[in-house]
Amino acid sequence: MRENGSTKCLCGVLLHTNSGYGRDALWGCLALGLLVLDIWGLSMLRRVILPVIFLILIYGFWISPDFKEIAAGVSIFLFGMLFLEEGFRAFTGGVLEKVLKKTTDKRWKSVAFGVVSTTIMQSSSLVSVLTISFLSAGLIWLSSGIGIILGANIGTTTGAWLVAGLGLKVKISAYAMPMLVFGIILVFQKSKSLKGVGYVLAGLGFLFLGIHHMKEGFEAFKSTIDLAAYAMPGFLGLAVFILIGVFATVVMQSSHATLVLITTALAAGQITYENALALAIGANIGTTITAILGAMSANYQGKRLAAAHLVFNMSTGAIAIAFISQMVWGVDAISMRVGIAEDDYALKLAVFHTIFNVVGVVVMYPFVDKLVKALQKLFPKPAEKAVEPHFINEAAFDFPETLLESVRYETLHLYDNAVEIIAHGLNMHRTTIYSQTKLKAAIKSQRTVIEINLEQVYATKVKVLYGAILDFISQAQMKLPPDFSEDLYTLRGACYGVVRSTKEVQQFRENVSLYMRSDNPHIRKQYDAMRLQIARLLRAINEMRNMPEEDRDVLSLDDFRLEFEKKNIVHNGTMDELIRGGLITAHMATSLMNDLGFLRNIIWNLTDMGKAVFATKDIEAQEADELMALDEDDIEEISHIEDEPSAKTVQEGSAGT
Amino acid sequence: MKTSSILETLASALDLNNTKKKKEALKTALKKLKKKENSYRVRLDELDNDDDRAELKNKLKVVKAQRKKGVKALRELNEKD
Repeated sequence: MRENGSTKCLCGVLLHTNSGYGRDALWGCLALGLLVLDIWGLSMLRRVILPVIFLILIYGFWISPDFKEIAAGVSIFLFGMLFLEEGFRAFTGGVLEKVLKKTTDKRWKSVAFGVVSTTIMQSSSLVSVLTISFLSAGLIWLSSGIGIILGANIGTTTGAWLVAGLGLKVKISAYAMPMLVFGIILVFQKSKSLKGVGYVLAGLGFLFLGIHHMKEGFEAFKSTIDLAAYAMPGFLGLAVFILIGVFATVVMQSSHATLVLITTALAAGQITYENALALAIGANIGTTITAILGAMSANYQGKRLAAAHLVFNMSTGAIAIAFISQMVWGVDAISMRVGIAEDDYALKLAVFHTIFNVVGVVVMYPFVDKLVKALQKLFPKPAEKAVEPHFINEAAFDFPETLLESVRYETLHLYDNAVEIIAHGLNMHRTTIYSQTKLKAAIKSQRTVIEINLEQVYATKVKVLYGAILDFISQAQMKLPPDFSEDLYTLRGACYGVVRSTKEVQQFRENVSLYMRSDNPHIRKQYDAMRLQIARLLRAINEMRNMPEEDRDVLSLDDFRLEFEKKNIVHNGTMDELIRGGLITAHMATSLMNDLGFLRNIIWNLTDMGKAVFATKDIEAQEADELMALDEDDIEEISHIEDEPSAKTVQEGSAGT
Repeated sequence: MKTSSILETLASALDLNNTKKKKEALKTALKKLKKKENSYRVRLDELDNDDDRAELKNKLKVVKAQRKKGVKALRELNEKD
């Protein structure tokens, strides 16, 4: 791998595919490239190239066991990050959040926090990934996170002092395995806090395990880092050694290890003092790789912080390169003053490491706010496509009838969005519900759980719209004549009912998805019956909507209320029979009882909505409908009335006698 | 005659409470319900499927209960008149 002249550059090492190491390095670069792609959030591109990545990975695993080890290491590392985030999320709103907020509420406090925590942990990488986790879990702000990163860069220099001055090396990774074991035991505990601690410990364990595997995979490259081979004077030497410093730190996954390597090479006279400084600068840049890897599984906030880390360390490196001679002079001056021997390069390196990081922090400190703004632009918060009102508009304030009509239409818009949650939440397709298909058969055949993020649909399509309607109605009430207020109240109530129904479905969904696929035909039948009742109501509302206004019969919606009461298995004795006969378990029975409560609320809320929205415009006719509509007591009463015999039954009966 | 009684008689004479319209609306609604009830009865005799018959019987119960409420409301309006 030794080459002469300019071809000795790092790229030459990487692209020298004839050698096994070069090939592995190429794979490593490719993998890193893909990671970077991920960080830049090119989700579209990623979707297209995903199969290609898989093929490349499979080929890579086939030809290189080292590559397999590295890739496995990255995966375990990311798994650890997910655990960490999950763990820290458990502490949101708790003591940890309060402590973190209090200790990082001012920038100088964040920097101090970074210095102290890195000095204690002796790993800036660990502090940076933990900070990414804090940020992703919403425990701290971005500016606080950047402050911690700045502090971590100063804190990490204490490592060089410990190594150089005391020969001491704190190896926190030695605790990885116990952390993993204790963590996993805690994860299985019921207490939320213990579970959280378990996730954090296991996350740290996986993190170190991942780093260990990455190191193992890169072990083959370690021997290729022959610093003497690249020794050269001048600016070119500086640039080459910075790149080697970056590469060595990425390979060894530790800037401390790189510093040890530099010190050894320097003591052996393999490299010059200037080369050593360049390597230290490179190591400082290379150490950001851990944060970049960590940001892969983090949200946009984590990515912002990883980018801030990279920007800071690169800027610090640039400053150090630009003022290298002044820094060398400074190191010599300080070394003389504190009594460091002329040839004690290890300690002088520690001085340099400290100076250039402190200078970096001092220079970057005033620009943190600007950096935050730039990062917010570069990594914007993923836009949630929230729906907007289609019909309500302030222009309608002067026209009461138009205003009422617009609120009515907007209620239907809200209902349409809610139906997505209601139908999909109960694993039914709207196209089937609104078609002419026999619903009973359709529901029996639809046994697949529909993948849907109900919370997200609720937040973007229902909650936002409901908020807009509420706001509009509150404003409209101030400007409308009193005659219209009642209708507006009714529509507001209808909207509330629709929103409540989506919430009921969210609670209902888990059992529906479980029992509609159950092997027990009795419980399956009950849940199918519940789905059928809702599907029929949704179809009826849709049909009513498509009718001419004069044909709409809102009173017919009471049929669904009675149907529920008649089919309520708690009231008609079926539930007792099922339990007594051992046909369903007590657990199933309690689920059924709870879900019948949800079903009842959905049916009453949606029928109320239908009555409010499809009510006739004729005030007297509307009042007549309201007078004849059945309330809870009426439904309860008629549900106990025996069926009257039809003419056919009577005839058949008399013929028999 | 007290003032309130005079005002009540006057409002009734001028139909300020729209009682007439209300009664008319109720009568129309009741007629519609009666028609619906009859059509349900005819359909019930034609149906053979037990599920469909049970469903229609429920609908019939609902219509009857609604009519009962409507008739009661109409009677009350007539009494006020």
